[in-house]
Amino acid sequence: MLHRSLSRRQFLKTTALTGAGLALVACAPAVAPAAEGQPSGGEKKEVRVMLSSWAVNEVPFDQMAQEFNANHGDIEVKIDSSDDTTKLVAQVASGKVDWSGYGIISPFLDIVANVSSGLIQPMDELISVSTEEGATTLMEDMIPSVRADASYEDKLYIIPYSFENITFNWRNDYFGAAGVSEAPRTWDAWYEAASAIKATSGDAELIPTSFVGALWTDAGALIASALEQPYTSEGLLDWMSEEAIAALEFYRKMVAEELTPPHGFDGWFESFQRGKVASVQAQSSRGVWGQNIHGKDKWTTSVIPTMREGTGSGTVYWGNGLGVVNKAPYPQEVVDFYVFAFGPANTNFQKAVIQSGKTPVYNSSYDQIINVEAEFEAYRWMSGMRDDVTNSLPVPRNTFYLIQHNAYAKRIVEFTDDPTMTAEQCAQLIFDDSMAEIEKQQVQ
Amino acid sequence: MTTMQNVERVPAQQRSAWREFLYQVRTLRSQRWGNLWGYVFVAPALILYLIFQAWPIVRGFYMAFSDYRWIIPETHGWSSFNGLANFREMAQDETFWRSLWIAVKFTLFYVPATLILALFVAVMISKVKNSKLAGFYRVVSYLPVILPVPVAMVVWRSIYHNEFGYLNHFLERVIGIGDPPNWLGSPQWALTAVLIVTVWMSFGQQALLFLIGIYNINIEQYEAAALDGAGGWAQFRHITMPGLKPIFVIVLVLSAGVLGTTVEMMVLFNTGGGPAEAVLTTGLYAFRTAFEVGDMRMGYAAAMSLVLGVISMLLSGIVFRLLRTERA
Repeated sequence: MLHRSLSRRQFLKTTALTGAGLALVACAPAVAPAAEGQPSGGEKKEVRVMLSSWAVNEVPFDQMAQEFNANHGDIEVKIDSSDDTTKLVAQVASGKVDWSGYGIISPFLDIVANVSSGLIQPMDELISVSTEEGATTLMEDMIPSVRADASYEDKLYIIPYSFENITFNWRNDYFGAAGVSEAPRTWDAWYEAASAIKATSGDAELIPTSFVGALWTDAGALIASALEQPYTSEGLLDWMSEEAIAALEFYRKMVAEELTPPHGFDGWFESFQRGKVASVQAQSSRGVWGQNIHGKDKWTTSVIPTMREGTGSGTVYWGNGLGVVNKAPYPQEVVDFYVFAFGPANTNFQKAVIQSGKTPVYNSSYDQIINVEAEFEAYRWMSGMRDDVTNSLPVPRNTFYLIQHNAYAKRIVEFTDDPTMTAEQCAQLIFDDSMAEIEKQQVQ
Repeated sequence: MTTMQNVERVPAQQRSAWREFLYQVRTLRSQRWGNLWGYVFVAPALILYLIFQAWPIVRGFYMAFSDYRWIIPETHGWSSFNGLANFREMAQDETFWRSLWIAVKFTLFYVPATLILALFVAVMISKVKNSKLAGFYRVVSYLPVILPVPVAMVVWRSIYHNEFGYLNHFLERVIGIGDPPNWLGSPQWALTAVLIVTVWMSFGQQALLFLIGIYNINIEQYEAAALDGAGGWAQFRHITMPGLKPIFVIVLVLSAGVLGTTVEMMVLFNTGGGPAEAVLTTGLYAFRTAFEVGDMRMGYAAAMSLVLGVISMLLSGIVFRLLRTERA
């Protein structure tokens, strides 16, 4: 007789047999693996690159991967915007890594942490043996100060595809209406221009100038532009210098006379979007955002005004780039991809970067595209940024940025709220807070 | 093959010594462990729990007693054990105490405000006789809970904007307040601003719990009370409130978690803690310490989180103790 249902005993037997079978299958030796990091015969090398999702939306990395894959039959680059750094670090620690490339890395925030934690490896040698077009000129062609920013202990850890620098972004129409036709070059000229806009606009909602609420973009850039050497030997901003005190005083004067939003930056972005900000000291990409929102003819990007014309160390800047993961399965292939995709020879990519409002990192992009091609006339302001950055000092290689930023963000609000606090006291508090936090970072 | 069933079927006096021994062993095992197959079926869930819940707790507990720094691999092992050093540092860390005080202030306002609003909304919805209309109100009150936080915060940033915000526009033009608050920029108002947003985003969940509790109260109690002349307030006080006691326990215990931080704070003010660190709660401070600043001192951050966890457990214990019922 055919039984259609299982008895309890039969069920348990079946379950046990199935479990034992699965266990045996799991214990069976795997097919002979290919050599470490290499695919078995006929398979493509899967080169995975982990990228921040915002970057994938801004820059055509996917398209570059497709082009690279089309030119390299044995390699498949996959752009992965999973942003799963924690998993990547865990993999590096375990020695079995899925990803070969990692980004976006902003050196002033990440390079020390990424190198110290063993997340990324230097790539000088990998570039030197790369056969991709542009590999031989990449290092020489890169703006030297940007290359210095992408390096740590004289080794290149990041290939930047663009740089950000702090600039003065201003509205031609608002400045023109106030009788100002050029970007201010000094703090005094900046103050006068902002005062003129406030006096003449008749629009109570219009903000003559704004900061954006971060150390590097605000007081940090003021101090960097005022001093020949803005950083102390410990790697901090020189808070106790006369120029730093003057920068804080200038900042407060602008806030106190309501030439900026409250505290210098409160709600600046919403006002900016509404077209109610006449100028903003921020990354150059903010000027391009303004052009995209309000029209290309409305915004101009210039170098930041300085304390005294012709002095100082330029501006704060940093590259946006990608690194090679430590213990990556395909370190050479991923560097080949980087060189192919955003090396100096790939003019299509350089053009895409420029058109997205990012400033390119190779001198050839300025000399052969921006300053030459009529189509890129609207981006010639980038040449001024290149010159500014070429003459600027890279930010010290340490983990102190956020420490100083947190101290600054706290104290600048107190400083602009409390008229009895002097600039010297504010600077001292920022310095003391920073040093106290740095003290905590010393391993006992 | 001898089975439990076979042994049981044989009268005790006819069993051999060996069978008797087996019977005793199996009886004992059955009494102590129950059916072993149950363990097999529970195992997958238990393994997942051990890996993803228990192990992180144990690891975090160890980290709290170590000088674990994310960017210094040498500190990741057992050798970085530093005893009570993190807790000694915490005792002298002004930022920690300030952040704890901010967290306590926030919780002291958040818990009653959310509780009262949720209870009020739940009672009001329970009074709506039209079932479709009641459903509509339930959806509306729950909507903020399911709204993605970034989207909600974009809306709230527009509401709070010092120049163009709807709130200040209302205060200025309708109420006639000449100098309305700078909600997100002023250290005096930032905590209030984030408190309003957090209450708005979470009261719907608690209202739903209260509503479930109210719907579970026997309607005959209200009818009997009405016959005895009890008014609405008396019914609420003597029937609804006692009936909702188990729900109060759940709501209060869940609220203990806000002592740390809320995602609203991070989206509205990033992780900087707001203007002059006015909303830097201990949770935010721990996050900053572990994931952003300097060496990324996860050991110290774990110690702060442990202290927060212990405080939350104590609060939960007090709630259970005070509001203990047969059902919760």
